[in-house]
Amino acid sequence: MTVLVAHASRAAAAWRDSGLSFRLAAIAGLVLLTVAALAPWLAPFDPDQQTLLARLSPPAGFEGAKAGHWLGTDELGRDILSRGLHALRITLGIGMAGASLGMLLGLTLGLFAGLKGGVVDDLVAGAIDIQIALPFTLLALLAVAIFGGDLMVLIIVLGIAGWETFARVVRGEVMKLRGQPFIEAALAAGASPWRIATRHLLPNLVSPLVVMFALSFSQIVLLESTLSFLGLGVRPPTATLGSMVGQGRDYMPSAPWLVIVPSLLVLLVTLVVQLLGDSLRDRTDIRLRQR
Amino acid sequence: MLSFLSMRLVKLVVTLFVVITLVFFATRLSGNAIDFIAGEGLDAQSRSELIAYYGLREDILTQYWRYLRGIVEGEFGLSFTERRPVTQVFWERVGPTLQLIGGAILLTLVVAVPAGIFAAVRRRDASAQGVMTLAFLGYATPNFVLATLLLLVFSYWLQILPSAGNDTWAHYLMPVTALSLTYIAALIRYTRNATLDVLGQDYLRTARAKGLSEREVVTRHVLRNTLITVLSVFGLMVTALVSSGAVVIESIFSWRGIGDLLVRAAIRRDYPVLQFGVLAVAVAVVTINTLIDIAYAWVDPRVRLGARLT
Repeated sequence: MTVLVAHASRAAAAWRDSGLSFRLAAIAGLVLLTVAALAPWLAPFDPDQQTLLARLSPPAGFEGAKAGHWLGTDELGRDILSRGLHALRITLGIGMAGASLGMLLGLTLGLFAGLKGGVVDDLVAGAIDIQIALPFTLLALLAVAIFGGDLMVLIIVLGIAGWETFARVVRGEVMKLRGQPFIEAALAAGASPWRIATRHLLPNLVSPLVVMFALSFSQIVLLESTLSFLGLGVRPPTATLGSMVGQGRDYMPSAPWLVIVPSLLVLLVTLVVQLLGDSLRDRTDIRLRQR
Repeated sequence: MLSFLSMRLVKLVVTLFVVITLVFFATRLSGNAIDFIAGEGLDAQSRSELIAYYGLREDILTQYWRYLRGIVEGEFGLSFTERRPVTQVFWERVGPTLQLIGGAILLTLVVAVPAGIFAAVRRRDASAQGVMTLAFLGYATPNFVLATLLLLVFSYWLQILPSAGNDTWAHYLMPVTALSLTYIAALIRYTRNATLDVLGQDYLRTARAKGLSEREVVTRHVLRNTLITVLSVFGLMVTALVSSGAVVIESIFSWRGIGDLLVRAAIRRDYPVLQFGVLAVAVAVVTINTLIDIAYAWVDPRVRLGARLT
């Protein structure tokens, strides 16, 4: 309980001396998350429901708009607002799940490598080298070709692709912390490695982990959008923001809203996440704070 | 230095070997590749002929051994969809990709380095803050969104730029811009930080004290010292440019390069092409990283002598 209170007051203090852009981004982020979570209740239509009589109708306010379809409809008469909301939900969900998986994997391996040293460390360091040699996008292309665009596969691939950053930073931090007197004291007192890892190391890793989570989240959202845009992500008819832009491309000359609406949504998401990640990093990086 | 170099070389070879092995077995996980090549309704005899043609008859370990031997001899197998050597298919695509990436590298360096130095030197001005805001926006904009919106405005609405192909100089404008933006934005941010570090150094005070004009201070002292940091980051950016940027931009603008080839290969499950592509990019990335390591070792004796930088 006291820990919770301490965290809450620290969060409050962080809010007080944060800049305007951070506050705006934080609020926008919360709104996006809420809207995404409530998508099934907020969306006026079923996202996959086709109304062939109302195909390619423009957004409200333009000539020929159909009542009720605020942002227009696509080539199959599906409501773009509803699809956008559901797509946001899937995109953010994949980002969350992928970044969490990457963090879990990277944190575990990084802690192991940093604490055990020796052969374990060499193996993890070697695995990191290999992961760095295999670029994100190519790995995803390969995995999608092999396993198909299943949602679970996509999350696992994106999570695996992100583990390396976490592992690298955690390993480095643990190595730095290991020589500190308080760890030596804990060791001398007979603390088990598990206790040292959870009680002494983890609390010191929270701020780099938060920053990396934000950055990895935005990277995963980007990669998922890109893959879906190329037709290699989540299978249709399920909409993600990237696949909406990708499929809308064919109708760009006559129905530009098919591309513009999801593009702006993607832009909004990446802007907000990037802004949050940046301000979090600036807060934890003492070298930058003095400027 | 020599032992450091040989250690790096051993590490490079081991990394590449593991990559090759992983990719080889991963592509075999999805069952027999022949089903994708042949499609349904093929009679048994042509099917077994196809299997023999692509060398898929033996058990997987034999295939693996043959693949490794092939790599040493420069044989990387046949493309499933084009039915000719993968290397040949790739070779035709290298030119356009190099042109695209070369253009992007040039544009990035020409725009980002001056803009980053400007943003640092004039950091209190509104114009410098404007540059940084633009850099932030550019950094957060996914390149496929930018490319799509550019296409919409310049090819469909204004109809002044071609939407596909690479025949004339006008074909280069949109792809190169869309590809560069993220890297320009990122490099502006790096350059600004690197310049700020340099601006705090004592030798700049000395330079001013001996009477150099502000312009001379910036061009002679700041620029040079900033470039050292910037170039090391730039090496890493080039690998990202090759591996992810080109893939997206090429398929949007129907640019007949390696990125476009790889996306098509992924859609059609042309494993030999994918395998070779991943391998080629891995070689590029590992080589660039090794070169950067060597450059660091050259500059910093602590690395060379084996102390770990953590």
